[in-house]
Amino acid sequence: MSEKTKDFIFKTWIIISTVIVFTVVIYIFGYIFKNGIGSINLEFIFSDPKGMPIGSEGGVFPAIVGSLFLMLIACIFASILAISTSIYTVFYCRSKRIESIIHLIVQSMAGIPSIVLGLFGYTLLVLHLRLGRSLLSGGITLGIMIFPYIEVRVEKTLREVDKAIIGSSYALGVSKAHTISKLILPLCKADIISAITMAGGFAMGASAPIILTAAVIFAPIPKSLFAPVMALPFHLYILTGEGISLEKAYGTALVLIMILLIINITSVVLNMKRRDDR
Amino acid sequence: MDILKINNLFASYGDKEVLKDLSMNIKKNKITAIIGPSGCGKSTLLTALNLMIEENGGNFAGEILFKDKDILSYEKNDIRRMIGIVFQKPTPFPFSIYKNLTYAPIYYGTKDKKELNNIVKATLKEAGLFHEINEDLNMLATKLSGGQQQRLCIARALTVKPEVLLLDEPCSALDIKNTQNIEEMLLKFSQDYTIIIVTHNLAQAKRISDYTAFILDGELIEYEETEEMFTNPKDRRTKEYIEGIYG
Ligand SMILES: Nc1ncnc2c1ncn2[C@@H]1O[C@H](COP(=O)(O)OP(=O)(O)OP(=O)(O)O)[C@@H](O)[C@H]1O
Ligand SMILES: [Mg+2]
Repeated sequence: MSEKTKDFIFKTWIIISTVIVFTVVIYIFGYIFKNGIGSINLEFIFSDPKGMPIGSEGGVFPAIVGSLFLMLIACIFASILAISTSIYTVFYCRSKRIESIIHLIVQSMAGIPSIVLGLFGYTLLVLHLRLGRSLLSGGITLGIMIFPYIEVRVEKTLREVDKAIIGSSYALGVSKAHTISKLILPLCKADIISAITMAGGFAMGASAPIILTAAVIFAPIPKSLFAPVMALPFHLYILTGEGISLEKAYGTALVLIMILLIINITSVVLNMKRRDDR
Repeated sequence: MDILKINNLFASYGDKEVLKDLSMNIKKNKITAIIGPSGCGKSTLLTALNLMIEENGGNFAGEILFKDKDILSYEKNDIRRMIGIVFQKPTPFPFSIYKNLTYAPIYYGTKDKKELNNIVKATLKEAGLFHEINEDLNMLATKLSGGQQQRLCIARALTVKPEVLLLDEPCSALDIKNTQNIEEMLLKFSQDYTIIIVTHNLAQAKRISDYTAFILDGELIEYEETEEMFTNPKDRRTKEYIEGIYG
């Protein structure tokens, strides 16, 4: 086969795959939009679930708030751990062995199925630590799930900071801690926030980790960290799984997807902003 | 008076020995030029003097005295504050000019806005940048020209009031005009600072330095008053280098 034909086949293949991916994505969005838009109105979004069985007449507000809270706690928990871990591995860890052990652990964490994380959260947090089925238990479980994604991206960003610039700070007699907090982290800020929002979106859409640790069929907007919550993906699961209302399930799905879209666009915009800054 | 005394300095990166038994004293408030072919260890010598060598994965043995006290007996960060360094490639922080110049003073505890403004103004003037940038202190430092960036780095090194200023080929990436600016500035500085400058440009060494040291393969071959070195080199290898055989 000549180089030219190879090139042609390769190009065609790339174009076809791109088209397929686009079509699938647009089809999914369109399908959910078409089926969901009918049940969406201000009342659907801003009121408590109504009807018997609950939710059959719409109302997802507590689930929206619950999901946002879960995401927030997961992000706080995961980003504190992830940023510290990456700072340690990049700037303080002197041993290559410890570094590769950390990388191994982070990668293995990314590979744990989310339902297994849910089981772990249930036994450790809900039962052993007696946190109950709560916002906190679910948030932490989700945090464990997104930790590796944040860690990997933050670590990559930290490594990309120009060594000569870091050296210039040390050369002024400025300590490592100050250099990290006042020079390196500000430089990486946009990228770190982008990583956290992206992971937050991932956490918000996950249902397996919260089924056993946080989510319930009905709960008001949580007043404390120890209260159980409603969550969009779980609500969606119940509406469909229990055969309550497929129509409302699509409405819920559309709300969820819209929120995720906003989160992901924010993340991408932040990432682009970072490129402009450098 | 000798502000720095280097006695039997050996420096290496891992197994690779770079400086071999190098001894020299640096005169206070003079400009000392260090010349020698690429890879002979000039940058290594500079980085040893303010302990930056550690950050590059190197280490040294032997003794370096700063004001008659072993530099290892000072706090590492104090040494780096007192012995500033400017690298070959300009390395402004990707912040505003103002933030570049207040970064270190804030770390050292200057909080007063007025005092910070004064430091910024004074160091910019010393580096001859103040009028060039039209007092636009909020401009992103990376938007400056190469020569301006390098002078900003010099200004930044001055914000912590060092006593010795190490310059590693500060002009190698700059045009004649910018080189001239920096040379004029260095000549002015020598009243207040001790300057050690690594340069590939022998004419530059001749123009600005009081003393010149020639290093070859990590060994100090000759160290003389600049006049003397360039008119009447003692060592054959110095003579050959000056005449451009190694260059
Ligand atoms: N970080 C490092 N790790 C390992 N080896 C190094 C390192 N830095 C320098 N070297 C080696 O040490 C030797 C001296 O390097 P140095 O940078 O001091 O030379 P130089 O005289 O400044 O050269 P140039 O004029 O090219 O800048 C070189 O052989 C170089 O390969
Ligand atoms: Mg060098």
